[in-house]
Amino acid sequence: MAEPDNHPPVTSRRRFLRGAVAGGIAAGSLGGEARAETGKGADNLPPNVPEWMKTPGDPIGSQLYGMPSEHEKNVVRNIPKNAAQLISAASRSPLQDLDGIITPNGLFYERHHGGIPNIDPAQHRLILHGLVDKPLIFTMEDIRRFPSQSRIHFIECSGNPTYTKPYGKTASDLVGLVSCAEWTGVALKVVLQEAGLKPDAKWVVAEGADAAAMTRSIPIEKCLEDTMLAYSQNGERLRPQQGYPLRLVVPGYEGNMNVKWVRRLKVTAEPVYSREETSKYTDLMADGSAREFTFYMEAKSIITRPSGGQRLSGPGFHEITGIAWSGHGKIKRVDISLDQGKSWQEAQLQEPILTRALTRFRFPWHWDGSPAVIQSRATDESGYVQPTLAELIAVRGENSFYHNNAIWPWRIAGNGEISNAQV
Amino acid sequence: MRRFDRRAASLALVLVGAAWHVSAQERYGIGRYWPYAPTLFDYIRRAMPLNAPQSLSDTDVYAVSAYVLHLNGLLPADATLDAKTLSALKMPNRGMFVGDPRPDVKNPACTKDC
Repeated sequence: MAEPDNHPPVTSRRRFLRGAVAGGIAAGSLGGEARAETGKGADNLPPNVPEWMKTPGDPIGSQLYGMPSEHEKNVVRNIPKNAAQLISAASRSPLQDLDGIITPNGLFYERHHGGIPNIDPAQHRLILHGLVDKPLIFTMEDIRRFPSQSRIHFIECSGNPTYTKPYGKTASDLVGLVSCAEWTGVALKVVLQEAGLKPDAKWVVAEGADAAAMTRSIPIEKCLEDTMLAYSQNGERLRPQQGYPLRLVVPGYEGNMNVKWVRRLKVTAEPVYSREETSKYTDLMADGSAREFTFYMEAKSIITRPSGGQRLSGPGFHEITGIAWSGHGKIKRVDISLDQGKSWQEAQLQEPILTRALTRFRFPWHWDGSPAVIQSRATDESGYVQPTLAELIAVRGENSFYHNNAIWPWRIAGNGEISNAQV
Repeated sequence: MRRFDRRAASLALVLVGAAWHVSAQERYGIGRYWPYAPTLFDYIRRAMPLNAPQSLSDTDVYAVSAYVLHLNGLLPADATLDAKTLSALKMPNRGMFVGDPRPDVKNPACTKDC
């Protein structure tokens, strides 16, 4: 099947290796030539000994809770400039500056509907009532006495991004409302079994202890499948922005169903039709119909490097990398196009490839310096293929704010500047 | 202050789903979009006013709900609202809500000569 001009990945890798060797001989490719530099800061460069080697550094314990290097101070969450109301706005993860699949806790995206509550865990309770044999109230200590589990899952806001312009300039502006962490807590199934479900229990209505009292109805099947009551994130207790001291993790379902600061679970026969599952988080189609209870986040991917706002230093080797994820399970493959979608080649997937988690992909690329449009396309284990924006809009129109999982192309100009190709 | 007024004006438009110019946001106005009236009571009761949620009495919440429904042309100005009348109110857009048909979009996954 592999035509010589179809560039299957193996050929590309061989070409890269040949190119790198040739480039290294010709003009210096990935490293600098071994010669002394001059100019500002050169005192710390070879062959000199840098100043930080000439005096002892800070003592152990100078930061009892460690912070990133001061030289990384620009890697922060990204807040839209025109956010009308900060207590119910969102901040985005700086996806283009992150590696791997785990989002650092301080950079996990935020979406709040009534600000971030400051909760004393000693005064926090989880109420479980409704269609149960025995209504229960749990302290945080009670919750942590249940058998625990840890799982890695992404959480993504339902509207990431919208269908209409203006589209974001950077990967973070565009789809920064997704993050991924290792969650530790107790399977909701275990807690529900402790109370005992009545036969007509079909939904669990979760309520957050924030000023929005965020309320969503979750189907009982999902609660018994893989929903978690999580108290830790990446090894430490949840951050206040992520629901401290207790949140739901509903793997693969739209972000706001993963109710933060959860204080109440009411088991019901029917959904509650809260504002956040009727007025909001329903998908208005072009014909005026509106889809309700659209829970799953479908397969999606984005190239995070090189991506909008960055600039390629020049022709030569550049690794293309990004993230892919699906609410329906594992990512099966990611394809890359370098020619405006005319042809596609398979990227390498970095292990581990986990269910309903971010998956890192990589693709070796030798840029010849001519303008290009690059994009990624994810396929998940159900066989579902990430669509183009045109394919999505043809079916759904542009009214909806939610569930846009379109392929997103980046345009690379001849001078190396990268911009959003959809703008 | 101007900024606040503009926000208040835009909120008023959302509340009534003004007909003269239907922007994407206004399509979601209560009278135009919401499928169930008790959702309004529930939301006001647990999340409004924004600066002091859960501060209104149930009677006040019914009064505010009735006022907003009146602005949307769904109740007369002198209407009295209680649990029974609120849940009996049929919202105009209720029949337009459908289930989730996804996967609804198919990418043929072309790999060459696309």
